Amino acid sequence: MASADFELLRGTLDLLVLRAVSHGPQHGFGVTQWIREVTHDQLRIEDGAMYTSLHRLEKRGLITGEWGVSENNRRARFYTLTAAGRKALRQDAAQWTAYAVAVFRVLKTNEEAIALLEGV
Amino acid sequence: MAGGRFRRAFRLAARPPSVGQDVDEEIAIHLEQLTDWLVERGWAPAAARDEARRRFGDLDRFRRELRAIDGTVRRRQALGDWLSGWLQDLRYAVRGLRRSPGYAAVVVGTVGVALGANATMFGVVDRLLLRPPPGIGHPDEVRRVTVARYDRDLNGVGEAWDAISYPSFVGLRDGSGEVFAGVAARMGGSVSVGLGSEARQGRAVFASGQYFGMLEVRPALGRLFDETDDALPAGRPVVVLAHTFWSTAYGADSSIVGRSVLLSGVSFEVVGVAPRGFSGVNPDPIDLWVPLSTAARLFYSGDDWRTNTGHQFLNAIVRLRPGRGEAEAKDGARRGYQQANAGAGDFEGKAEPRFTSLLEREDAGPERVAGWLYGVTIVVLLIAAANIANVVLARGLARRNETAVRQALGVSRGRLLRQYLVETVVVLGLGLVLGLLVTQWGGVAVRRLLLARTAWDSSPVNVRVLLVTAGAAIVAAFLASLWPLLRSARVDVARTLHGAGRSTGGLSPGVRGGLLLVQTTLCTALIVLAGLFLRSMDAVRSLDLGIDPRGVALVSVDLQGLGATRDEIATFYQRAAERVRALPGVEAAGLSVGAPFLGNQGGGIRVPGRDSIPRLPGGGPYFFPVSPGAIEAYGIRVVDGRAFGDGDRAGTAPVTLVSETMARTLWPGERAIGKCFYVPPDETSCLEVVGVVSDLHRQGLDEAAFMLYFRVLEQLPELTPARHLVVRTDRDAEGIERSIRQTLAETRAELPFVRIAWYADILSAHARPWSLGATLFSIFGALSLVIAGIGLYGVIAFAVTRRTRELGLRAALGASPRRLLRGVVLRGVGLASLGIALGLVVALAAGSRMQALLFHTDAREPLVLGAAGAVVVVVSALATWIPARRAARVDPMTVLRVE
Repeated sequence: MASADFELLRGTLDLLVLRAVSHGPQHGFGVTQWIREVTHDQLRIEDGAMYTSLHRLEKRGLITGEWGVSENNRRARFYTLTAAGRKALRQDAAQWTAYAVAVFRVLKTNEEAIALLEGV
Repeated sequence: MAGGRFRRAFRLAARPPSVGQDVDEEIAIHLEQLTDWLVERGWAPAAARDEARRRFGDLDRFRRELRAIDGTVRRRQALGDWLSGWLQDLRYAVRGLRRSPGYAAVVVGTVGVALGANATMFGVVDRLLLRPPPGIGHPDEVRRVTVARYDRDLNGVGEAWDAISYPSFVGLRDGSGEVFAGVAARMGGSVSVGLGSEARQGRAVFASGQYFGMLEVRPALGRLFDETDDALPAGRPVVVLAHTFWSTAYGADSSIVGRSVLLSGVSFEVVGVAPRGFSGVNPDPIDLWVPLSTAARLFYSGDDWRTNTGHQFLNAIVRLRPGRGEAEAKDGARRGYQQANAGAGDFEGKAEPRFTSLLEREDAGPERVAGWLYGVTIVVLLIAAANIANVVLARGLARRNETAVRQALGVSRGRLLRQYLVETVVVLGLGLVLGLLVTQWGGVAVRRLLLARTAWDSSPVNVRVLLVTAGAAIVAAFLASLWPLLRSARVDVARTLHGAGRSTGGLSPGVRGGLLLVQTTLCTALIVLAGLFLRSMDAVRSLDLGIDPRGVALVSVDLQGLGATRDEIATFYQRAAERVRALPGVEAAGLSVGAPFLGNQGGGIRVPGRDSIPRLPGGGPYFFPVSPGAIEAYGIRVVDGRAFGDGDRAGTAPVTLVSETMARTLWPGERAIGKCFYVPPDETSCLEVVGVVSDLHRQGLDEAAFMLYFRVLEQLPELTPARHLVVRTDRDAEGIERSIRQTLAETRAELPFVRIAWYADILSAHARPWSLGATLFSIFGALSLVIAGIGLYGVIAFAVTRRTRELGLRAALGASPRRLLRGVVLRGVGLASLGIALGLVVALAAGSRMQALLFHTDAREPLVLGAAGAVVVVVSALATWIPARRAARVDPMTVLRVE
């Protein structure tokens, strides 16, 4: 898992990015930092890919990007989840979880994880 | 970000940065932030920078990807903004219009009515003047033939008219040396379709075999007749139905081809149906076409019709050969015509054929009036456009503050302009819809009431009318709104916001005064023209016709077609007259060959003691053969002597009644009673004048003086058997018509269609050009008056509003309300007076060109000019007085406090 050529499905990355902006407006740097932090940088996603995802989501109307001023008074582009984005997040998360549970069941590698996920 | 939306609003004013700049900036900021973050965690700055780069990945690739994505987003956004901008403007416009329904109503109403009038008249003019008759192939090559006859007094050709003889037609066709691609002859006629109670009148054209071929007409159904159907001496009994007649009389039944129909009692085979809209070369409606030689053989006795050069009953039409000049064609036609008439004397032998295109009509009938009327509707449209321009200007002025505030807030001029433009387009769009409704109703009314004698092939609103009207609307929009809008959007923000716009007008009063002047001028001119037509109509109504047309009907039955002999027909009419005379409600009845307004007989006379008789401008002498009862039935006044009596019959001394003009011309200063004249070739019996009657008309309302006399029907041996039964009634038309038909049916079995024409209808058809002019000019004149009145009212009301401060001050300084009122009204009327004066000048110029269309009315008639001026003065005084009264009531304190 530690290899740098870990291929993340594009849809999964979009899901992570959507999740990253779901708490409120967030600039790109914040999004990359948050994802690295919560995944302990295990997924090794390039920052550029995350930006691509952000802009793709903006194009799809799931988030909006607007220029604003960051906490330390710097100009930055802030991304906000739209209503459509919130709905997409809910659906994709549920779908992804169901998918993961199914895969875990087959592999039986992690009973704990299955229990955890089923509880979700 | 809470501030995002606000920021965005501000950013609108400036040019947004390009997609590339945006992406580059975002990446740069990201790298900066990450570097700082790493440095904070103990990285060396250079290493931190490298790490940030490394974590980002392939910079160039991502930059490209981001730009591509953003480009799409930006384009989509721009389109959305643009669309929602228009939508917003539309909502804004609708809201604005609902806030000021008065403005909306005035503009929509004005535009709608003016466009509607314009479209209605365009439809008429298009059919009558602009478009060649429908259904004809290459109509530009087709010409009508008129013939200028040789006049010995002029030693050259004189007047040209379109009637020619059959030999002349053959001469044109066969003797012109191939200069024509086709030559055809036609005559209008009337047949009875069916028999007995089922019978109806059919408007027929009897046409030579080449007719359809040379006009390049394609049948809608079956075939059209050709030269084999029209072979001499007698053609085949075939008939081609007009599309409209086929639809109305036979329910558009396509099995009609091959069936037979009874035309004036003879069985004809229907061979085909003409294309929709086709009614020949003239605009009047036609029901069916029959080959000329068939019709002539059946409906006229003998072969005289095709040999006699004096029997002129045909109109010729020719198709020029493409590539050959018209001069060459004329030479050929002259050769052919003169050869055919070589033995007929100089009158025909030296006559010269002329050509007129299908679009040229020589008569001053409804066509020319319609042309003028279309011009008038353009003027009405101009007046309306001036009105709208004024209203839009006023609105722009009233909105100066709003405009200034919005410009100060950063709304661009272009955007503002667009907003006002949308508003104008909405108003004009509504006006256009209203206009088309007006056209639909107005068109139907005009067609039915005023142009009933024209065949119409499409609805009043058709593609051409729609295009022209939309074009007119766009031109009107440009004239009326774009320019004032441009001015409205140009506002000095600072000055206006500082209060400069509150009291004095920024726009020169000259512009609006100028518009008003144009309106008043045009309006006055229109009213004058309307007045001239009203006077003409009045002159027509009060014309002494020499007969008393009230309650007089002409009854005729086409018996020749049934094969009845001359004697049978004469007996039938005689008995019919006796029976009808006995009907209750019938005051008098008699027989007449020809009738006033429907045609007459003519021929030279010889007066004992005179070498020659004088020529009068109206020609003649002409005569009507009548039975004794007809003089009374027509209501002809006997001025001197007696009328015909029962003692005047075949075998008794031949007698005559002469018109006053004839009596005066032949025996000036003497009493005509007892005088006599011969009618060559009969040199044995001299017709004795037993009475003098008032002058009357023979063809139309506007006739030059001519000599006319009456003869006793029975004293004329050789005469066409066609008769009119003249009936004078005192009953309503409906009931008496039925009893006349019944009486005739009892007189003879198997009767074809009985034609009953009321003089009132015949006369109204003759008066149509003037009634058309009088009615429509009055409507359009009144319309323009109302529109101009509204315009004047608007301008004065607006001026008063803007002068409130001044008027209040003057009131405070002691000016009496009456004085203020007078000042404002005088200003308005003064403004109008100049327009009225100019309008009268315009009317004088236009009137002199319209003289030919007027009836016994001078185009410079002072009464009409004065009355028109007075009407406009009154209306403008009224339009000024209402707002002026408001001004006079201004409370000085209120005004001064506001300022």
